[in-house]
Amino acid sequence: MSLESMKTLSPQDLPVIPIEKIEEGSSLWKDAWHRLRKNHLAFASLILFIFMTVFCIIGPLLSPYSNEQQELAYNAQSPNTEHWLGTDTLGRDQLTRIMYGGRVSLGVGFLATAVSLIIGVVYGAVSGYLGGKTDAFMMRFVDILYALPFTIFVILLMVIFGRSVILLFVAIGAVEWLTMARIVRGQVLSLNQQEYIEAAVSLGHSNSRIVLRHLIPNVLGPVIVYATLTVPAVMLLEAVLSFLGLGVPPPMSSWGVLIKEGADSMTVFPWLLIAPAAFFSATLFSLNFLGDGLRDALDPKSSKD
Amino acid sequence: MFKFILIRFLQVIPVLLAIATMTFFMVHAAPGGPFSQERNVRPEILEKMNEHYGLNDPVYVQYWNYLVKICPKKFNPFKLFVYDKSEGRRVFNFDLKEVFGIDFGPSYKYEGRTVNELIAESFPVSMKLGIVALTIALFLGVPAGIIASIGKNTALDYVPMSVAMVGICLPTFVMGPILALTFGLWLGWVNVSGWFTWSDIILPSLTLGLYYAAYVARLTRGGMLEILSQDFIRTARAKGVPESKIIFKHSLKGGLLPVVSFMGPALAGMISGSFVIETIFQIPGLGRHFINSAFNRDYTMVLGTVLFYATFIIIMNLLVDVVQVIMNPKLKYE
Repeated sequence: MSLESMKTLSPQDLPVIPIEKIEEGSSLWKDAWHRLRKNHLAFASLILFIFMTVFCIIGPLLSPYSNEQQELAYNAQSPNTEHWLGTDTLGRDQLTRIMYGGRVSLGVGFLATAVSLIIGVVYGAVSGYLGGKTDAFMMRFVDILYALPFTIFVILLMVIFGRSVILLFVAIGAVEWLTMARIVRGQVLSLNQQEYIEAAVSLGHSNSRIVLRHLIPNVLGPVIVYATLTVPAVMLLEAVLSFLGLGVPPPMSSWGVLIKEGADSMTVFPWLLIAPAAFFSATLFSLNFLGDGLRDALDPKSSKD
Repeated sequence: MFKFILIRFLQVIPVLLAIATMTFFMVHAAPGGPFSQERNVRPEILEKMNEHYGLNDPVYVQYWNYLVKICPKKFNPFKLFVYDKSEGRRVFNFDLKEVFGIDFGPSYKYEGRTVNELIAESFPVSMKLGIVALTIALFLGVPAGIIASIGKNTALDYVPMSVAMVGICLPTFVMGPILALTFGLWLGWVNVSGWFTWSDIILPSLTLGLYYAAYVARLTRGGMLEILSQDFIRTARAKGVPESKIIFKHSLKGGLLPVVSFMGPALAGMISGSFVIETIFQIPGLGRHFINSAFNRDYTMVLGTVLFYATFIIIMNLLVDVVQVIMNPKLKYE
């Protein structure tokens, strides 16, 4: 290369490295995604769950029947070509009711999980980060709460303050955060030893900034796994309450309400029980397997065997 | 050990006080009095009823009176079993007033009955159901978990574990009606519901037990696998200890630790499960009484039942903790 040509060197003259040759660092999330793809059961669960959600959200728009429309002349029909899953004792289309019920069940499941997520993550992060006596006290409090019969308190709340959806998911969320707090605290305790936290402390960042900016993003993996497993637990609790007649208020219906109605008339019309029970169980099934699969994918060390 | 139990026991007292306070004020914050639903009650009578039950007193007086009444004042274990003339033998008697001096007061809705009486007559039913269900859960779950851990990643593992997963995803209120439909209605082997003959306990306890058997199986498998992968097991195998001895003598105690710690939550779950089971199968247990009294706004009954359940669960958790420390001495130093 001569001196003249050096003078006229422009960025375009630099050797171009083909993009494929750059060794890309494979992120945790990409790795996890690949592992999840390889786990057939978990991946099938993911697809089933997405299908179920889309089905419940879009289904009612496509259905020729409405949730409330009663046709007493066509009551309690067994499944046929017009009503794919039959009609209930008031002549309402069962498939449409299942889709509407699914909206409520899934909605309560996600909202209550979100409530429990917020409480649990903040509580656990604060406890683990502050450490010492505060931590001991806060965790002792969680231990004590663990010993309490919370379903009873949720029932008490629903009885006293009336049945409302908002109260329902706040109450469920307020009792489901305990395990989440424990998991987050454990993670934070181990993260506390890391150098970058020390660096942040020595830079004079405030406690809240360290918790929010450094700790919470790093505990996201286990939190996502546990949140996936909380959704079915919450849906189960909601269904138990609805089954007992203490869940979502009428005219709303959830899968728990439909199962209750089906169980009441199962001796005569068993399909009214079987269809909502199948939808509900399939959703629980997919969420549980998805949670297990995510755990294996995000934390290969703690895989189940 | 004694000190550990004492400390844990002393911790129970403020917790129970907090629960009593919280429930009391929650119930009192509820709109409408206990008699506000009754129709055709003249104001004078309503006034008299409120007077009779002390509902006209200021809230703090009511609260204090209630606390004094529910505080255990004695312990008389001899009253736990009384001679029943019609049965001709000594039977279990669960009158909290006679045994502990606890008085939950009269029921507002069941006229002339006290909450103590209602608990005493319905709790043994729930307890019987719970004990049978727990036995089913352990006797099915533990062997299934052990077999799965021995045959790890073979059909012996996959089959029971898949069944367990199905069991976990079939909640009691789905399983119950399905069992009732199959064995009660189609096959006609047992009654669909009711609480009259000995066979009436089969379906409810199976419904409740199978659900927890599934959890127990998963926990046993996990616990056993962890122990079986440890060095002392390898040493034992190298020494030529027979496999049965390795499983039952060396691993089982450690492998069952997760199951023992699950017993606390399981009991709490069984109690809330009993609400559902007793509703499905029409069983006159405490769970159904609780739900009914909650619907009827029978405040004393709700308060009494909640406190009773809370105490029961907390004491059971205490027992579980003690058993855990006995099984795993490492825990004592934490």
